Amino acid sequence: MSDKTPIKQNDTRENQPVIRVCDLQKHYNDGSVHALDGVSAEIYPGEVAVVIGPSGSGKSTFLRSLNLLEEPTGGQIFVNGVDITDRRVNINLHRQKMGMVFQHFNLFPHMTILRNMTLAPMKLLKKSREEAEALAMELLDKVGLADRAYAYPSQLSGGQKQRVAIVRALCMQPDVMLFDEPTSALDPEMVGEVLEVMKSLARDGMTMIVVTHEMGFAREVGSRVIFMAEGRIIEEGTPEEIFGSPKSDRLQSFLAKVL
Amino acid sequence: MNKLEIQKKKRRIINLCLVGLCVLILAGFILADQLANRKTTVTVTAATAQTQLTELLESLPTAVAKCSKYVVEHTGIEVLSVEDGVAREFVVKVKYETLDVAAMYEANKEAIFSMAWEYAEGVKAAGKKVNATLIQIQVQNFILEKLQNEDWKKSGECEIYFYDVRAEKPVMYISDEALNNLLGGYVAVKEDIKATTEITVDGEIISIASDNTFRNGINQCFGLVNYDAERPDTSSPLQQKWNGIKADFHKNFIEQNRWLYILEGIGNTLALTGLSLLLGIFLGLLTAIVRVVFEKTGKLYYLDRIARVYVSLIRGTPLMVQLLIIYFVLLLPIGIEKFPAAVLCFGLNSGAYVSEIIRGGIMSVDAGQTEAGRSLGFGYGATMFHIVMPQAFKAVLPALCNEFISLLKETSVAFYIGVADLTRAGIKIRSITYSNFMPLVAVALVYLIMVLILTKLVGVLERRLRKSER
Repeated sequence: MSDKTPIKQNDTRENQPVIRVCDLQKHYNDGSVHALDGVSAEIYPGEVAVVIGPSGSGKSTFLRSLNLLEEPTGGQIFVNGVDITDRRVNINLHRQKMGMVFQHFNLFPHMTILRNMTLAPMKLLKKSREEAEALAMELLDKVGLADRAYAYPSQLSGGQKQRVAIVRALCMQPDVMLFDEPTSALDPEMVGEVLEVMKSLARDGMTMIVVTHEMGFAREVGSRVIFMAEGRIIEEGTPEEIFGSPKSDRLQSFLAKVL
Repeated sequence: MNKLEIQKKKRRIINLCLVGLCVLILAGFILADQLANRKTTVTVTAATAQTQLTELLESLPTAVAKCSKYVVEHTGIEVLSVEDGVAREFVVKVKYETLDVAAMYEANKEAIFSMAWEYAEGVKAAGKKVNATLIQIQVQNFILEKLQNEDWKKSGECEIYFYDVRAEKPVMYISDEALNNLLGGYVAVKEDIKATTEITVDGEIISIASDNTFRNGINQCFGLVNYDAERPDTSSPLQQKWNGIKADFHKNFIEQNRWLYILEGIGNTLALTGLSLLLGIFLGLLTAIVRVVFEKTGKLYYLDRIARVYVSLIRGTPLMVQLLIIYFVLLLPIGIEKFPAAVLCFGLNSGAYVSEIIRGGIMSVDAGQTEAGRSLGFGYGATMFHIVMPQAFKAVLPALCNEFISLLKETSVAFYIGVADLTRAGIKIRSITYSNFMPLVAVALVYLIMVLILTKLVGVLERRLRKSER
């Protein structure tokens, strides 16, 4: 896998969206703070949607709402046509199909890497140990960490931890992967190895929603870029549109600061 | 040589000096002891021995004991010689002349007992109560008559001892056997009366095994002030102290296997602590989970209220009061034993503290861990069980062990409701032997040793846990 390979940008607009978000609201402190103020978006299969924006713009809240780690105070989220904000829906089943990667990795420190990865498949998907471990080893091999399978998280570097976190989510064979600033807590020299894994994931056609400050990644890998500020989506479009010809002042000033 | 090594060497020299000093002080003590142990200027002459013996004889019978008085009045003792015995001892040879009380008793035993029995029956028949003094008054006249009517004269020689105990006067010691000889078998007679369980009245055998009043009445006729002398300890002061400690130890732990109390106490204390801790961990876990669930999700409102009341009740009242209330107010009326009551009390008590420890442990686990678990699709309970709890438990294990240690000490109040724990063992021994130092210090030492062992184990555990984290 070389990063010279052009990433295929699927035109998936014809398909049904995997995730459809309608007028999502999130209020804190009895409505005085609006973390999300009417966000609507659609994510299609195979898309790599990159969410950018200044801090406090609500992009993390938006991402975390998609698997209800943050409970929205208004609006709906449809995943494969099912409204997951409905209380009658078993959210745990939906979360199994939505992998999530966190800024601070959140590996389970009391388990080996292999156990980190096989816990959920064995307990939730009722896979046998052999089956779960075979998949885990295959994925570990892909990210070049097969030799660390029996190490504990504290013995790994930041970049290694984040790669493990990604494959841990992949062990559940999710339909969608959510990335919450996956490189923000890393030392600069480790950012590359994590982005590389994400790129290859995108190449394999995984539907991904990525909140990041890596503009390079957004431009190179993103099939769509969503710019958020003050709890709203200000502008969205292809990387060329967003980075090449930003329309709103808000985006222009943001890009001027980060590029 | 670097600084560290020099410091080490210095320390070693200082330690050596300290040890040397201790040895010197000990040697000084022993030397002083030996000096003090040299024979003093006290001497015993035939005259002083005679005086002391006469004084003793006069002091022996009580005022109302007519027979004893009569015997003592007819007893004469003459000092023959005084010799130096071994070490600090003087051997005094005496010649005595006395009445053969034993022979008199032997010849008249049946008559004395029959007479006393018939008299006692007579009093009872008259509707009055029999007591020892009544019998004594009646019987002693009879005995006196017997003593006066015949010639019971008897003589012999025996040895008595004087000991130099580093005091102004030497201490006289008459062995029980010598005393018995001096008084014509008096002591043996008293022993025989005490041991008599059957008497014959008019050819009929009557058991008096349980009739203490009757026997005491006859015994009082031979009333003597107890001469309860022990051979004085003439060893050196240090040796005497050591002997005292040894005797004390023997009396408190070896005699009648009293150490078994301590052993039983250790067993009960450990069982009480262990069971209480198990109950405490169970209750604490439950309480902690209820409170954390409420704090994080707002569910279980009423259970959380109950848990809060429980924790503040337990933490806000003294353990002793809780124990008394739980046993005497709540459980005694419904017939629950002391031990289960104590387990319940200490379990409830430690549950409140354990719940705070575990709650702290759960709170200390990063919220990201829960999020990671939930994002993989685990429910709240499963996330708690597989991911949060193992980490929380690991974090609080040392604190739990410390709770175990303090619980071990706190169970000492269980003696208040009569649980035979270690503290009660000490109190029990103390109440038998009237010693304070030995039983109480022994109990303290046993607690200390148990705590030290546990502390060591906690240390090992802590180090092992830290190692697995790396």
